[in-house]
Amino acid sequence: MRNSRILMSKTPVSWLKGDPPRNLKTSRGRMVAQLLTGSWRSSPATLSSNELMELADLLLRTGAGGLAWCSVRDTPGKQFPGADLFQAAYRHQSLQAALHQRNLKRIFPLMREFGVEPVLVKGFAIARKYPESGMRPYVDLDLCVRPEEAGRAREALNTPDGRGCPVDLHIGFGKFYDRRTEEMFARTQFVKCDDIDIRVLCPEDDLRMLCMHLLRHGAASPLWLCDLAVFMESLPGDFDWDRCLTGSRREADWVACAIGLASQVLSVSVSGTPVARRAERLPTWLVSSVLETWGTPLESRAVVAGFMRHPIKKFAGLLEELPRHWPNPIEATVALGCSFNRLPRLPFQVGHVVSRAASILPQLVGQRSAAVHG
Amino acid sequence: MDHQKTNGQPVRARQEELVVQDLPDEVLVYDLRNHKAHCLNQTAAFVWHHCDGDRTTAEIADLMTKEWGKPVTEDVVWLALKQLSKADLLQVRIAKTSDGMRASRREVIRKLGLAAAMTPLVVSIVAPTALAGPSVPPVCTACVKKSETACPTACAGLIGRCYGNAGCGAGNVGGCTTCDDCFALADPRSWVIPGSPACP
Repeated sequence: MRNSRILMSKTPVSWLKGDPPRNLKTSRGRMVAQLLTGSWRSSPATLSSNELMELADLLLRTGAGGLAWCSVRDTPGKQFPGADLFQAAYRHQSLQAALHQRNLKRIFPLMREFGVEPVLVKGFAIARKYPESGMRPYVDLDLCVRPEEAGRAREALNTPDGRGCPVDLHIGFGKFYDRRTEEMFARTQFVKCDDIDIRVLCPEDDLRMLCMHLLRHGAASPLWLCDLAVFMESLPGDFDWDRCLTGSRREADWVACAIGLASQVLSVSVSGTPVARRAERLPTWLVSSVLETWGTPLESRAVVAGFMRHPIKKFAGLLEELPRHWPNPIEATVALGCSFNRLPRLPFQVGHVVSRAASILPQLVGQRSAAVHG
Repeated sequence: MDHQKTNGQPVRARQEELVVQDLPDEVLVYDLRNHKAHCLNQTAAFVWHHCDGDRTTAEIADLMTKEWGKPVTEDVVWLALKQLSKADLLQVRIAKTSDGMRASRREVIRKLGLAAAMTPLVVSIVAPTALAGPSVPPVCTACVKKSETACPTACAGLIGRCYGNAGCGAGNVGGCTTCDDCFALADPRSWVIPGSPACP
């Protein structure tokens, strides 16, 4: 353990970027966790105005501004100078919710007219579990369809009504880390959006998908862990844990660890569940990675291949860009399909970078030779 | 837009092409025609909900008096109508020369001694980002996918970023650009407004 702490204390990225000290990031991440814990239950925040000021940008950039508003609106914290931005996020998201539902009520009947039965994932499927619609941002409508219905679904989206809805169409559930397409379709359920029946994943598959999505993206957004926490607090009485933890032991362990993060970081109760024991015994690097990531301003990543086509001309840009691609320990572990054990994470992070570089190289070589011969 | 001189005559609230979201203390309205969003406080929302084309300003003021148990004059209703008209939330925009349209919010507060919370207020909602500049319509806060065939008119002039089309924010592939320019590129792209990853 001692070694792992030494290895993780100063990653190459920190050297390159001249980042703020790691303990500062972690303490900010801890404040984010403190602010968001129970925010969906209107648990008042106990942070000072200065602390809220420090967190405002971090929260707004990750879509947690609405939840932050719910956390401070009944406290003196709502007077702090940046609170109006949280309120603006809340209002904005409330309107997004109304627009999102309007689009849902248009797209589902349209798809059905074309003989397609889509399944809604993310968005409303998760947001409906929050007590207020403005707590969570809404993006596009992620619809999954069976492979044999994909053509008709595209036709539907090409009609004037379909073009008006921001739909992200997925064939099966591969994009969402699960290949058991037919099995998952068979278990889907209906929920009501006013008078329209919307097909969503069953709670077991939904929870599994939330966990996998969170980990694949390195738990980078606090909002994703809040989604998981809200979901855990609204589990139906007949929730089938066996079904949720099905598949390889490693994936089942990832799911348990993700739930453990919700427990340790956002104080969600997991007692009485089959994952309770694992949730208590997470490797220490897991929670600290999350807090450090949450305390680091979110930066968008450019595609490295774009720089590599003109490496000399774009060298300065490349140097600036590369540190943003340094994976956090969670992302690296999951990408390499490895376990969340107590071993140091640096080798996994290096391994992930190497595997990504190896996947980019053939593309670059192909583009280079096409440019030469073309 | 027609302008009408009402002089206390009934006006009708616009209902078409609006998305309305009722919150406990306010009403949010998104205008699908011009992609503008507004927030109505309780007083403005009360007036708006009661503009049914039958009630006069005096009748609405009476209703408010009964509802709140405090005397409310027509000036308050006029002030609300003035702001609702400016936000294009009435069927017909009220002419500036109409009676009562010249009163400002400050004057009404001073004249009536109303608490600020009781005076009608309609404000525009902007995206919560310091760098967004113009008001960003909610339709643009989602990724605009290439499958859309064209970017929404409301987004055309806004500066954002092109992304790989494998999901919003799945890989920035271009610098700051407008939605239209992003759509003009040959390969599949998504376009995201400033807000998540703001352009410098």
